[in-house]
Amino acid sequence: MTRLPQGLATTPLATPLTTPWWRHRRLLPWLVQGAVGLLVLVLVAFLLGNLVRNLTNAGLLLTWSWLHNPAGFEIAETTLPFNASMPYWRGLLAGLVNTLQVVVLGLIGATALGTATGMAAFSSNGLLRGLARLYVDLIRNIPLLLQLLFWYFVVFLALPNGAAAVQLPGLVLAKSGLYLGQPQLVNDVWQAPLRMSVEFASLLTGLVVYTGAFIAEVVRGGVAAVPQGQWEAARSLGLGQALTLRRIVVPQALRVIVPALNSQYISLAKGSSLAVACGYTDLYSVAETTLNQTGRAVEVVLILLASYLVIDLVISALMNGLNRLVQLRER
Amino acid sequence: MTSPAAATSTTIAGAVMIEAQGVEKWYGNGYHALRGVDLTVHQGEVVVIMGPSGSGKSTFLRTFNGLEEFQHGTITVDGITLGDDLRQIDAIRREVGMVFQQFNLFPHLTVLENLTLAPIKVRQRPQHQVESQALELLERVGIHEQAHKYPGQLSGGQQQRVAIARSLCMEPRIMLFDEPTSALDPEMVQEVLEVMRELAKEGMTMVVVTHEVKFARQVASRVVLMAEGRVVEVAPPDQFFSNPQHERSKQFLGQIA
Repeated sequence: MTRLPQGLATTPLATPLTTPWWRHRRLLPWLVQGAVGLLVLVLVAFLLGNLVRNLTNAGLLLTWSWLHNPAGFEIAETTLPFNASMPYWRGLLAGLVNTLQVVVLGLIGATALGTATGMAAFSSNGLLRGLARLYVDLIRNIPLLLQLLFWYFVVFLALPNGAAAVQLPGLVLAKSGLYLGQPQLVNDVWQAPLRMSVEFASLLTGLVVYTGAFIAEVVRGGVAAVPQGQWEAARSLGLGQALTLRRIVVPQALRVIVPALNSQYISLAKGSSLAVACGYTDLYSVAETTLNQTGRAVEVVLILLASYLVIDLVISALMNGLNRLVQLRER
Repeated sequence: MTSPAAATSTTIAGAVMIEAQGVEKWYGNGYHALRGVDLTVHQGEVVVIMGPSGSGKSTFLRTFNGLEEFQHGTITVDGITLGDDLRQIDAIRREVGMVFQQFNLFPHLTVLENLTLAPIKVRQRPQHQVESQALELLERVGIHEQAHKYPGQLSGGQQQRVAIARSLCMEPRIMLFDEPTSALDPEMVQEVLEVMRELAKEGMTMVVVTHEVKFARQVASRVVLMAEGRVVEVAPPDQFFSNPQHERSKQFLGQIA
C-alpha cells in the first residue's frame, strides 16, 4: 500500500485515488459488498418473476379466499374446537395449536431429561454414568422418524386396554390413551381428569427422548467447561455439592449451555412436523390434507413455512433474551 | 519420624493440628504417588514442603482437606480423622483454608462476593457482619479499593491476595498453600509472600508447598523435603539449608541454588 495518508482509515474518501481500486484496502470491501447485493437482487427478481409468470399461466395466482370455505374433514383430537363444517383457516389454526402444545411440553420435558442425564455424567456412581452414556449414544444415532414409529407402533399401540392396562400411581397407560390424575375404570373404560391420546403421547415421548439426548451432551459440555479449580476452590471453602453447583458451577456453565440449547429447541420444534408418523394431527398434517383437497399448493406451503419460521424465531428470541441474562459480568 | 525432627520436637509447644501417618496414594493409572508419608504439624507452626516436581508434595498437601483421596494411612486434622463421611470432610474444609497456584477465584462474583459467599452460606453468619469483616481483610492484604471489581480486572498478585483473604474470611484454623507464587510474574511474588509472612507472624498454622527458599529460611518452623512420594528429611530451616543430612537433600539444594 503506497503512501496512504495517515488517518485515511477513519475519514471518508476525499483524496484522489492513488491506489488502484482492486487492491484498495477500504474501497474493495464496498465494491464486493455492492456486487453481492446486486447478484442477490437479480436472483430474487428472476425467481419471483418466474413464479408469478408460471402461476399466472396455470391460472393459479395466489388467492386466499378458499381459506374461508368449509374444510369438510375432521381432526381426531384438537384443543381448539373444530369440526368439518368450519373453514380451512380454522382447521389450520387448530393444527397450529396442536403443534404448539406438543412443542411446549416437549421443550419442558426434553430440558428436564437432558439436564438430569447431562449431570449424571458427573456422578460418582459408575452405573449411572454408564447408563447416561448409553442413552446418549443410542438415541443420538437413530433417526427421529424411526424413533417416533417405534414409540407409536411398538410401545403405545401395544398397550392393553381395560383392567389389563399398565397401572402406575396416578397414571394409567392403555391403548386408548394415557390417563393422569386419579384414573378410574368405569364399565371397562378408563376415566381421569387428564387424558392424552397415544398418538400425542408417542410424539411427545419421541421428541423428549430424542432431543433430551442432545441436550444432555450440551449440558455435559457446559459443565465440563467450568475449570476443575472452581470445584476445588468451592469445596475447600466447605460449600457443599448443592451450593457449589448452584452458585459456582451452573452460572458459569449456563453461558456455554444456553446458545447451544437454542439450536436444540429449534430442532425439536421442527421435528414436531414428523407427527404424522404417529398419527398425531399437527399443523403439517392438517396442511397436507388441506393441500390435497384445495390444490392450493403454493399458499399452503407458504403458510407452513411462515408458521414454522415464526415459531422458531420466537424460540430464538426468548433464548437470546435468556442468553443475555446468563452472560455474567466479569468486568 | 526422622531424627532431625525429633531433635526439634522439644521446641514445639502447640497442640497437634495435622497428623498424617503412613499415607499412601495410587492414581487410577497405577502410579504410586505417595509411598507412606508421615507428618505432624503443631499449632502455630509454618511447615514448608519442598521437593522436585513429581515428588508428591502438592498431592500430599491436597489430602489434608480431602481434595485428594488416599488408599492407606490416616490423616487427622484438628481432631477430626479423615474418612469417608462427607459431613466430616465438610467439617474439616470449614476449618482448613486453601490457596491454589491458579488462584481459582470465582470469576462471576465480585471480590467482595468471593469473600462473603462461603461465610454467609456455610457458616450462616449475618451478611453485614461478614461484609465488614471481608472489607477489613481486604484492607489487611492491601486491596480494599478493589472490593467491587471482578477478579478478571485484577493483577495476578492482587488475585492471589484476594484468594488468601477469601480463605481467611472463613476464619480457618489452618491454612494450606499450594505453590501460591508459582503462577505469578516475578514482581508480584513479594507482595503475596509479604501477606503470608504477616499471617505467620500472627500465629496461623500453615503448610506451604513452595520453591521460595528465602521465604522458607525466614518464616518456616520446619522444612520438609519430599522426593519420589516419600519424606526424605524434616529439619529447621537453618539446619536444612546449611547442613542437610541426606544425600537427596544435598542434591536437591544443589539443583535449586
